[in-house]
Formats: sequence, structure tokens, C-alpha cells
Amino acid sequence: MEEEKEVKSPDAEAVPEAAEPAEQIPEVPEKEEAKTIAEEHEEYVNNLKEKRGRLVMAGLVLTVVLSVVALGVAGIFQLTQWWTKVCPTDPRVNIRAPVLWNEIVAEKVAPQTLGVPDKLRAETALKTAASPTTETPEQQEEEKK
Amino acid sequence: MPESPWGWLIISYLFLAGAGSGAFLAAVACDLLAPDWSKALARAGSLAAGPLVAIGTSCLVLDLEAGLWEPWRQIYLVRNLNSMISWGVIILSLFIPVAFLYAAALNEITFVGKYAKRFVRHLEYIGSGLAVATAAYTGVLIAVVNGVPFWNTPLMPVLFLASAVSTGLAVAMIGAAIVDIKTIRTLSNFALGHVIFIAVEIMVLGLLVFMSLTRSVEAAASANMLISGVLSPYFWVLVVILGMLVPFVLSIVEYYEYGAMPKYLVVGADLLVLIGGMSLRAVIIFSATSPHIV
Repeated sequence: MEEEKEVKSPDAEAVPEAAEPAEQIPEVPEKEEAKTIAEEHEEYVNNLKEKRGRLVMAGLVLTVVLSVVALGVAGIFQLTQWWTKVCPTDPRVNIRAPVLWNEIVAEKVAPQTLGVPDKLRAETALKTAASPTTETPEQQEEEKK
Repeated sequence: MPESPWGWLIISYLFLAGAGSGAFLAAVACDLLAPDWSKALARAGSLAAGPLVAIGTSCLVLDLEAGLWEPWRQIYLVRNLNSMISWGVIILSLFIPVAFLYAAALNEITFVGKYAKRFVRHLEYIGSGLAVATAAYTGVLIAVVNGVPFWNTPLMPVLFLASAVSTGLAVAMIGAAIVDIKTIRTLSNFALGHVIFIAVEIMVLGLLVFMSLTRSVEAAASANMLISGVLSPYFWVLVVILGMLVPFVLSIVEYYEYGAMPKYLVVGADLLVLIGGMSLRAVIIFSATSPHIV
């Protein structure tokens, strides 16, 4: 009991003083923890200034990776093109035969001269010779009278 | 393999320039929108962007042999502003130095980087515009070819832009894992990006193929080469299954598992996206072969 009193008495006396540090105590670690988390995040994720050599190396490695991908795809295309070749087929035998047969069987048309047929020309010539010369309408009326 | 006037150098350019510009966009997006998630991803993406686009552009110059042997003639490339090629040259010429400067600024490399760090936000905004233009230009470059009906469609730049962002994000994620393997847990946040852009890629590719089937005889022949022709094994296995469907499923699992997925699967999904991106460009270039030759 004496110890309790001894303990309590200074607390009771210094209540207003002790309250302030009691409230501050939990705040300090929270801030520290927050700082450490932020620092860790900064160190692990964002703070890469110290890794400049590694950054440049990453750029080079990326370029190599892209080149390898490009060459790899080109290689796949080149190596497998043998499989994609269309197999040659045998030429069709007697390919001309149907054409020749059609030419033989086809209806023959005698060669014709250009222009008006002779028969029609002869008939037309006779009609032209028999037809009167050009007359005026007045002459035709007089002939009728 | 069908003969094609455009070969592996052009395909490499399309792939590397797309991946580089996409990595730049991923780095800027990470630095602006989610700086607390992973600085490693932003740093890795920024470091990869410049070299990849520079190497890709070198492939393009190597393919243009006249420009290789007589490089002074390349000045004529920027004279005709009615040509998309001229705009491509201007875009690439601006983007490459901006990408290198951004990498130096973000990572404080050399005194140039320390000085440029003051303007890092400006570099991000300007570089993002140029990166989108670079990624879209890879599609525009082949979409303006009138002689190939399968290519000559506005869907092509959209497809290449979506694929560029997807492959760029994969590059940045692999780089982040190389820089700091501990950050691989936070990479799960970015798996959602893979899901979105691969979904867009699948939709646009499907539209491209099925619209080509009814557009013209030549376009239909090219589309048939992909679906059931000589290129179909590459298209279905490398592009659709390995390059799109498997990473799509893995990314969904990665996003919901949040760090619980094995590391080799995370990096493996990104590698598959890269293989699919390269294969996609290859089959599109080779499918342009004239149907008469096939």
C-alpha cells in the first residue's frame, strides 16, 4: 500500500504535467512508423537515383530483348516457310485436247466479205434503175390529172 | 512465304518504332497519373523509348538504299509536305531527340538531364503528342499505299496505334521488372491497360479482316491468306492465340490476383504481347502479296 501511495502520489501531484506526455507517447511511434513506411516505399519503389547504372543497363537489356524478339519471330517465319510452301501439282495432261476437239466440232462459218451482200446489191441496183427521176410535187399532181 | 516488296527491315521498323513510342506513352502516363505506383516503370519506359525508335528508324533508312548510300538526298524527303512520308520524317526527327532528352531528364543522367529536369512536364506533353504521331504513322505508312487494297483503310493506323501502346506497355513493364523486381507487385495495376488495349486491338483486327472480305477481290484475297491461307498458321497461333488471347487472360488474372501471380507469368505475358506485335506486323506486310502470285 505504501508503494501504491508512493506511486500514486507523484502521479496525482503531477497530473496536468503527466497527461501531456501520456498523450504524446502514442503519437511519436505512429509518426515514426509512417515515416519508415514512406521511406521504405521511397527506397524500394521510387528512389532509384542510386541505381542509375542499373537503369542504363535496363535500357540496354530491353533493347536486346526487343531485338531478340524481332529476330526470333523472323526466324520462326523463315524456318517454317518450308511447311507453308504450296505443293506443286502435275500439269494437266492433254490440256489442249478439249480445245482442239471444240474447234473441230464447231460449226464452220464461211468467210464473208464486208459490205452489202451481192444479191442485195443487185436487187437494189435494178430498183434504182427502174425508179423515176426526182419530180416536184406539182409535176406529180399534173401527171395525176 | 509469299514474296513481298517490303521485307523484315520495314517490319522491324514498324515494330520497334511502335514499341518505343508506346513505351514513351506508358512512361508519361505512369509519371503523370500514378507516380506513387511505380517510378521504375516510368523510368524504364523513358529509357527504352529513344533507342528503340532510333534503331527502328535506322532499319527504315537501311531499307531505303538510296538514302543509305547517298544520305544527303534525304533532305528531299521533307520538301513535299503533301506526302505522308515527309510528315513521317519530320515526326521521327523531332520525337527521337525529345525521347532521349526525356529519359535524361527523368533519370537525371548527365548535366543535360539535370538541366532538362526543370522542363520535364513540357517534355512529357510535347513528347506524348509526338509519340502518338509516331505510333499512328507506322500504320499510316502502309495505309497510304493505294496499290494494296488490304492496307488501304483508315482502320490500319488505329490498329497500329493500339498495338503500339500495348507493346510499349509490355516493354515498360519488363524494364520495370529488370530495374527492380520488387516493383512487380505494383505492375498488377498496369495489367488493366493491357486488357483494354488488347481488347481494342482484337476488335479493330476483326473489323479489318471481315470488312476486307467484302471490300474488293484483292482485299478479300489478302484476308483469306490470313484466315485460311498460307499465313493462317502464323496469324492464328502467333498473333491471335499467343499474342492476344493468352496475354488478355493472363492480364485479367494478374489484375484480380494483384501481385499473387508468379513473376515469370507476369513477364511471360509481356513477352507474348511483344511476339504477337511483331508477328502482327509481319503477317500484315506479307499478306499484301498480289493474289496472282499466290
